[in-house]
Amino acid sequence: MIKNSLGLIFLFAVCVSTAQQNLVVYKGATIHIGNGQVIEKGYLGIANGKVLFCSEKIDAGFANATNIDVTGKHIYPGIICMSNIMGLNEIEAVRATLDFKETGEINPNVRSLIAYNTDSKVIPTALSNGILYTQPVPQGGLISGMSSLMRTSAWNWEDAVYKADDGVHLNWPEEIRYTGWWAEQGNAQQLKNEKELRTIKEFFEQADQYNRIAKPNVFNARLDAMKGVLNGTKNLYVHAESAKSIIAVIQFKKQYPNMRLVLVDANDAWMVKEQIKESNLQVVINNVHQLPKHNHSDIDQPYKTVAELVRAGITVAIGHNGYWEVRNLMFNAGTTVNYGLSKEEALQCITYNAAKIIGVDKTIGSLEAGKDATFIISSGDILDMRTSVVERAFMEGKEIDLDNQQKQLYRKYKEKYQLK
Amino acid sequence: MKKILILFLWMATNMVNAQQTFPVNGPRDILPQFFAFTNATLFVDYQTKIENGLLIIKDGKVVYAGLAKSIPEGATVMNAKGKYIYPAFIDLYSSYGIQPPVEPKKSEQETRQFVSAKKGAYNWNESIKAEVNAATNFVVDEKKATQLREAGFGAVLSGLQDGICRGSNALVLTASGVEHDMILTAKAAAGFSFHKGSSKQSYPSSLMGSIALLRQTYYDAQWYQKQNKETNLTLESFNQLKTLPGIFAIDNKLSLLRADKVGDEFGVQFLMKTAGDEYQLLDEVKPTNATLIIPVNFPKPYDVEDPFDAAYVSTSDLKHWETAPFNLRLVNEKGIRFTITSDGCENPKQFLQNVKKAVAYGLSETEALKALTATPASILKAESQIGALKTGLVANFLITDAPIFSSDAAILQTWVKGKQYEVSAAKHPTLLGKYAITHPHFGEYVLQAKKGSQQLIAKDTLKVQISQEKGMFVWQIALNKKGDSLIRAIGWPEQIDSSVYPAVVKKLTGNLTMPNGLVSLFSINLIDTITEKTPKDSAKTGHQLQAIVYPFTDYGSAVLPKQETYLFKNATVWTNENEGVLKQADVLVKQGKIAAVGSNLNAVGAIEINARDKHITAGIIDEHSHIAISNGVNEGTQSSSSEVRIGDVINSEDINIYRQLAGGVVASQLLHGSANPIGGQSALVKLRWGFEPEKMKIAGADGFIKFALGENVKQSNWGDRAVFRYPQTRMGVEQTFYDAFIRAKEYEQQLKTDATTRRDLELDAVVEILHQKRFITCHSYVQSEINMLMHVADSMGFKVNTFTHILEGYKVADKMKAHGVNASTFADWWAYKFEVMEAIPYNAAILTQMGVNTGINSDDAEMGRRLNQEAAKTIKYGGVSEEEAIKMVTLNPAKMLHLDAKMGSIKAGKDADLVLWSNHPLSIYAKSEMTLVDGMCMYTIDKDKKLREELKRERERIIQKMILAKRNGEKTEKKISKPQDEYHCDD
Repeated sequence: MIKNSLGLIFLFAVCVSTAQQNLVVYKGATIHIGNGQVIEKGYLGIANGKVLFCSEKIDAGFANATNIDVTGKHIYPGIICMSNIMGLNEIEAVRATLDFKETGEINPNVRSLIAYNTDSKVIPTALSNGILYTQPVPQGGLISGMSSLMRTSAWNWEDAVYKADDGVHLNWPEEIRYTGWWAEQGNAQQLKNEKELRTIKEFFEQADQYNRIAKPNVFNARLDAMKGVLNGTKNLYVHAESAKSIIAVIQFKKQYPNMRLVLVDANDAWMVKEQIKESNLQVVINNVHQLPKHNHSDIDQPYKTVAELVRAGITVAIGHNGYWEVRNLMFNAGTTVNYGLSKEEALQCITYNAAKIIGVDKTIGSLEAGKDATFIISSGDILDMRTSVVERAFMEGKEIDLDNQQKQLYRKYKEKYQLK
Repeated sequence: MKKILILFLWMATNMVNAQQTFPVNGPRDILPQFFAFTNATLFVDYQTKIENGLLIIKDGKVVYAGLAKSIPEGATVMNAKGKYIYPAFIDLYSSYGIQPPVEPKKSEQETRQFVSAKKGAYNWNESIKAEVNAATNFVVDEKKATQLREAGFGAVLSGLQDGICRGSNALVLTASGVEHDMILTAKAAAGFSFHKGSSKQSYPSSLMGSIALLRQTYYDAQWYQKQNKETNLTLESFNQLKTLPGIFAIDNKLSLLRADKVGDEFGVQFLMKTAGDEYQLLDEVKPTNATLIIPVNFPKPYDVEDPFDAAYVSTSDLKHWETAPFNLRLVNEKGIRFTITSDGCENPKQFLQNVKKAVAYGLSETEALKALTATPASILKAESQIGALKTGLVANFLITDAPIFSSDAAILQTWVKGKQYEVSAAKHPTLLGKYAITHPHFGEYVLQAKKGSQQLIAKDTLKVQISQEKGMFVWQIALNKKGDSLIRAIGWPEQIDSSVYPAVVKKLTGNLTMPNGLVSLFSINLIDTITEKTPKDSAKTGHQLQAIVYPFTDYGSAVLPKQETYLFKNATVWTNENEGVLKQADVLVKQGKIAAVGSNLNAVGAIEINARDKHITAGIIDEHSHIAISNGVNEGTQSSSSEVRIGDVINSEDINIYRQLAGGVVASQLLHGSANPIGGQSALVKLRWGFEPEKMKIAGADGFIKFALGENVKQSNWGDRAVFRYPQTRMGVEQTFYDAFIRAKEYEQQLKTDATTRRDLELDAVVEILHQKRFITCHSYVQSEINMLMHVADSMGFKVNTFTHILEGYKVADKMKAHGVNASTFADWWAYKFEVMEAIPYNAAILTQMGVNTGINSDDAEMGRRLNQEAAKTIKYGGVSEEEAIKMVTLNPAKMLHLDAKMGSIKAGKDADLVLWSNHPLSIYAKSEMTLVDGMCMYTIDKDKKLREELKRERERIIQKMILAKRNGEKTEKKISKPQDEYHCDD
């Protein structure tokens, strides 16, 4: 803690000395910092691609800075959408455009950043709603692959990478699975689950042994890919939906205490929140907007799950399945405001908490001094579709174009019909 | 002379029994069949009990049944003292003796087969099997017959339980023997269902398709009678079946109503073989006037010890387990005529146990017996043959050792056609009472023998263990507490009292072996009886009937909402009228209508609601919804399926109705899917949660029909196998429409000129479109096809009412405006298939600006509950005004559905379909606090909170009851309830 503070002071000092002439101050906006705090009519100072300050008042020493009056507007950190496949597919119904599911059950070595298509027509539609970073996640099998954190504006995947290979994704085999109209019932289902669990267990044991050997005589890409997970430098994202599976994941973690484990799609997490808290697991809830699991569930359970977890002291990020749907992420966060969270807490779930889980909170996720100048300016509350219009966006200090094909078509046909 | 006559008759009947036409190999071998059962408690019919009755049967028939009298010479006398004799049971739903159909494998179901594979002059659709004649397929099956007799059945109505029309059923006896002797009536009834069964033909794939096919078949059969152009053996048989009682096998109570509706259309009163859940909807079942054939396969308790797993058992399954045994009682109390079937029961034992259970749960024994004997006989008009014990009837009866529905009763023998079948052995005599012992060692002791415990009592008490082995009694007397010093004995009855059943031993003698190995004689004599307290029949007193809730699932209520007078005070009211948005306004609701909108309103007796800082809008109307539909949203097996009607398959118990009420939705157009160019007819419903399907429909609403274009109807995304059904291109889609409308026009002409024209339900609907009696909602994406359909419409002389989805509507907004079509679109869906790659969220804004009446729909049960938010996206994308945005989910869809005279805005005289919002209704921070439908409060936040608590309590109560049942030794089963069907267009 002390070390961190010192570091920040040092950084701050360096910035002040060199940044004066490049300083731009956005003043008058409601600044939503992303860490739960909000500043009304605040000042956001940006210099050299970094946040120099974000405060209620401005230091007299910055009087010469370029001032941009954004009174009445809202400033937010760039939104981070976890756990989706945007960039990995273009047209759901066209197989040739699908790049998210490798064949086979165990694929920790496949990496989503490779398939991330920066030229996708879909990505700019998310970007123009304020989503500046996305975590494309490989799908399918037991271990589907490695995700990365990617920028939504870039020339190519290499440019797009913000954090490469941040974690491996494990799909926990559910004991009760519904297929088609009917659930598979009885033994067959139980057996299938047990076989899959055994496969996972054995794979982790093999990976553990393999990675203890300094120089294995045979290179095994799959086992090698697990190194970071086992030594805790990469996340292990475990997609586990049911309460029983979540408990099983907690048990599983005990065997590998170094692992940094994140629960994803954990819709039943509210049922076992105390256990999750105690085990120090972070949680990603995908899609607040979904139907309750059972007919007898509280009709608003999916809306209130996030708040229930946050109140239990768990770090929660809200992600969004799918790809084109991702642009509605902030409205999913907005819904939680009606079901137990404050607006700033809701925002935190799609900014700071996401950055924290991915391990990039030192640089993005909130508008604190020293962090990347990654922010958006909106004419209103971005969590509410009634007011959410993003006007400008800055990615690590650079302003980015918010145009997209949909806006172009809109302009084209407004022109055709000579509409205002 | 008399003797000769009897002998002659005896021979004659026996010759009949032995198939006159068959040659005999060797000397004939016929046994005399002349029996007299004396001293029985005799039920000559379900309600006439005769103590010490006499039953005489001869050659398979009843000769006499009644009070004791002299027994004719020649009869074998059977003393039935202490026994009970009942007419044997009759089962009206059986496939006994019929080869079961072969269900198609999954891979076979996926193959496309457009017409019947049955060769010959039969029906085009294989699931109409009117020509099937059960009697011709009937073969005696000794194994199954034994089971039926063990369950008490002497006769069953047997048929091929396969297909939508299942042909004729035969009334057969369950005796062993040759088929010739077993068939009482070859064609006794006709069978129907909504399942196509073994048919591998594609059509029908949905419940609504089955209903349409059956209706069309009735019309085809009518036509067939009038024509002489072709021979169709199926339709010929179908017409013959009309004279027989029709037995309709249904899956649930809603389908019971559906089947009855089909019957009403054709003047047929079906009998319903039910699913045993009709208690859940008796007020609707009763007016059908249908006689019910009710199974007693009550569910077993489920494994619910694991709280996590228990969550997967639905509340309706939990509740059904608890209430199903009350079904027969409730049906009877409602005054509905019913019979009982063993269908669905695992074995005869389970059947009898469950009938007893139903009696224990309050069905009277007389009614139970009636439902198993007289009622089925009368339904089949077979009272002169079976169902009672009267002179001349077939000698089908049961002999039991106790009143048949008492818990420990057993069927000893089932007699079918005068032939005896042993079911269970009679109980041996028992020791019961106080006995004096004659033995030197035990002279002072008295044996006290009760049910289940025996003691020797003198100064001390010795425990005696007596077991019965084949009529012998084996004793072990423990001489000390440790029980390691035993006196062993064996005894057998010398005298018994057989006036009671089981008989009581009066004197027992035998050998007794002392611990030292010495053997001596002993005997005991009955000296006194012991009066045992008859154990309270816990069954009769312990079962509490819980309130039936409507719908019989989660969030149901025992009492349905009623229209109340409500006065909302000081609200922000979004009128959707010229008045715009009124601040601090009051809204008065009376008798289901908006009575007044204004300020300072007063009403005596009104429920006043403080709506300060709250908003009121008209209820949301979802123009495109697939919730509340049973068993299939598409009949996509043919390119046109305009004969199917969503209105036939409304599922009033879909939880999404309730969930959407919580999102402010009050009405929906329930649409057919988009699998084919001409889909099915829609249903316009209000979300009247708790009411049955017909009561959800909006009275007087115009008829609508789903059309569809593009990738779905071309089956583009159905995999490489789906390349056969027409159309496969947008070119073919156009031709499909032209073909349908040209055929419809010709059909209409023909109807006018030729009285023998076959009624065609498919074309009827298309003709309605041509006459503005049915209106099109067309699923559409790209501009080319939108344009195309408008051209088809213009040239064929009809209008397209609405384009739904219409994602490229913005590209042809001017043409749409010119055509006068409505647009019902998504707020921001796109990219999920090739044809939506140029969909834009600004679509609604452009269409609106171009003057096209535009709405936002859901097509999705999840999105349907926050349509206000979807409407708000049009503000973000395209700057639509807030008032217009609200209209997009209220007034505008009302206009599209021709409901705007009564719905869609807040104006005196309109339906009181209102939503009270906690916040600005277009904001993500708004919740519906109250949703009114026709002035009935269908949802409030407070009521919801209460319902949740009740629901949790209710589930826990039943779960605990189930766990208790398991501990008490009931067998349980694993259960994962079927999740809610969720449909989208593509399904």
